[in-house]
Amino acid sequence: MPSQNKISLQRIAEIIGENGFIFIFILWIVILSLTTQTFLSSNNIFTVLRQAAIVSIVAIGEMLIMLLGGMDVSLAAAMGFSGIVATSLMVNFNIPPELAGLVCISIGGLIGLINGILVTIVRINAVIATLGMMNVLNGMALAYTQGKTIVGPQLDQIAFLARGYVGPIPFPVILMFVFYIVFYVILNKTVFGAHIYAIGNNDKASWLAGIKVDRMKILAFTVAGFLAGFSGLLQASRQGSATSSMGNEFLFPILTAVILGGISLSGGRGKIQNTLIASVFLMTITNGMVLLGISLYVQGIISGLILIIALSLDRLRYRRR
Amino acid sequence: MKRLVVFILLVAMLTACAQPPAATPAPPQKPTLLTDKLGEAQDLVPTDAEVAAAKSALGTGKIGIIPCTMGSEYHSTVTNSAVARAKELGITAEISDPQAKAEAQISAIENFVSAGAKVIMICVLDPAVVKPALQAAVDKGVYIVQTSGRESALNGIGISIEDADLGCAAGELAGDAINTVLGGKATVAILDYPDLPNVVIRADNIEKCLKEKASGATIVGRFKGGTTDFGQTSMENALQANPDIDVVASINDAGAYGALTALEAAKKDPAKTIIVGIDAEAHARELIKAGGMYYGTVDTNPAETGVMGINAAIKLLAGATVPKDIKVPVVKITKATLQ
Repeated sequence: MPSQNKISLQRIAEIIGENGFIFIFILWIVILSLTTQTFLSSNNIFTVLRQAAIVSIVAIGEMLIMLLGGMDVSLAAAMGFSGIVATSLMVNFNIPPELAGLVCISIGGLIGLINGILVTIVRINAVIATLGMMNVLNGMALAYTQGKTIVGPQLDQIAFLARGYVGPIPFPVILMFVFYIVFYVILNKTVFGAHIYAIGNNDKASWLAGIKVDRMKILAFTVAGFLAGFSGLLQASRQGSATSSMGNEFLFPILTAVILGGISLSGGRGKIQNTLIASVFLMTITNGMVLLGISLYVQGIISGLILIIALSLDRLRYRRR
Repeated sequence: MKRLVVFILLVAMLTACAQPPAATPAPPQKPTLLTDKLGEAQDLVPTDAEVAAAKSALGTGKIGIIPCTMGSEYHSTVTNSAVARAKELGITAEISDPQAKAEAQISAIENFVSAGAKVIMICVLDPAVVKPALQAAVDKGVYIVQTSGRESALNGIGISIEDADLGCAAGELAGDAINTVLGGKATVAILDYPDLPNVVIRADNIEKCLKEKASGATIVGRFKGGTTDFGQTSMENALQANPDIDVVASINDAGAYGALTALEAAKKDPAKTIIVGIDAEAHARELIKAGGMYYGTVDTNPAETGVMGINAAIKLLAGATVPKDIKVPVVKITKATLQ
């Protein structure tokens, strides 16, 4: 009998170890479902998913770069700056939203391209290069807005992007799933995806195998920039305005979502679906604490503890392998 | 080894070639700071003689301006207005933006002292963090003009826009609206920003004064605001837990904009929903004028505060007799006052 207990406890430990942060996520969902009346309501679930949409879309770009063994800390700033330009074009110059959106996404792509060139051709460490870019973009955002809020009725034209619904489903949630399906296919079913993982695992071996490593890295940074630019447009739509600090608060959740989702900091390992789950998990932490009525002044402690436990279990999973 | 020797020689040459520090002009007469009188804006208006004396005392030095951040309309207006006033008087004033980080203010103070600033005009983010650096600056003869915080400025003038007054004014505005528009009963959410101690004082006083004005109101909690995105996300979550929320009192306008978007998305009746902010930003005024949920905001007169900051610096440099503490009046803005 004691040995049976021991076996079942071992099995539980194995299950927890195997499922890492997802186990904590599920546990958190169970706690919220039992202790609050609203957590599992469709309205609340869509609220959480809508909040996760923008972070999770930028996180795809971050994940591509981290799969290659790099890191881009300028994506949140790129998102903010692109959004500011788009809103300004619409509000101050009456540019049609389609064109402003195109410019917004292109600016994001251009920023990513410059980052990629700095990392591969100029050979600056990815974190340092993008840290510099982040400061440049934050400075430009401040200089451009002069600290003022850009707002106007023209922004109603893009309101649907982040605030619209298709039936009962928020449109940004649909966008989020579309992006994840597309990039799931790209990463798992195409040569491009295979090359990304190969370079992340061993870039020298990949180069010797004929993969154009630098070109792939530039492409990954550029794609990440495009996604950041698009997310900037989404954020401007969500807020219905743009401020110089727009996007600043996204850096931590973007990086956390990717790392929590199990993307290895040394590259070459991680699943895109886990990044999505981690993005939703992050939003659920904040949402859950509000639903539980936890004081704002202790929310930081609890969210930090949840993240540490989830990350610890996740790393345990990899150690077991 | 050769490289090390070359490096040491280079450093030695550079040190030798470096320009000597600018000659320090004779210290001006020490200003008399009256502590027993709470001054007003007109107490700081300098005479032509005081401007001339200040310029002479400043010599090749400058006035360093350290706002709380340049990323909000209120703070950028204070700062830009101060720079414009300095320019008008022919005085050099430079800005260092700490981007709402108290630690960054320490470096900014040190850098300005090294760069020969004679006066530092600062919006203190966290007095406990910044005080040692300010004291070090004061020890080197630098005057301080403080445009925020509850404490009097070290060796200088405090132009105090009291966070307690701001919070209380917003709380009273919300309380008045609850009584007149909602019949005395309301479910209230407060948008706070606990990262900054001074701002928490605002939230504390919003709560205190709102309760005093509208005892029938129920405050369901404090939620993170401060930025539009935080305000929006917090209100979306708060509305899930408390769908009855019909009043939001925010520590600033930026967070209140986010709350407005969330409340509109929740299809709240604009005639029975109240939002109150602080800062009186241009967009907030437009929203108030339009007559929707945005009921009021609190004007802190940022442009005048910037001018007062430079005027205070002139008085200090000229050795004038000035009150140590100057109060900036807090004005409640509603649709009625705008009309």
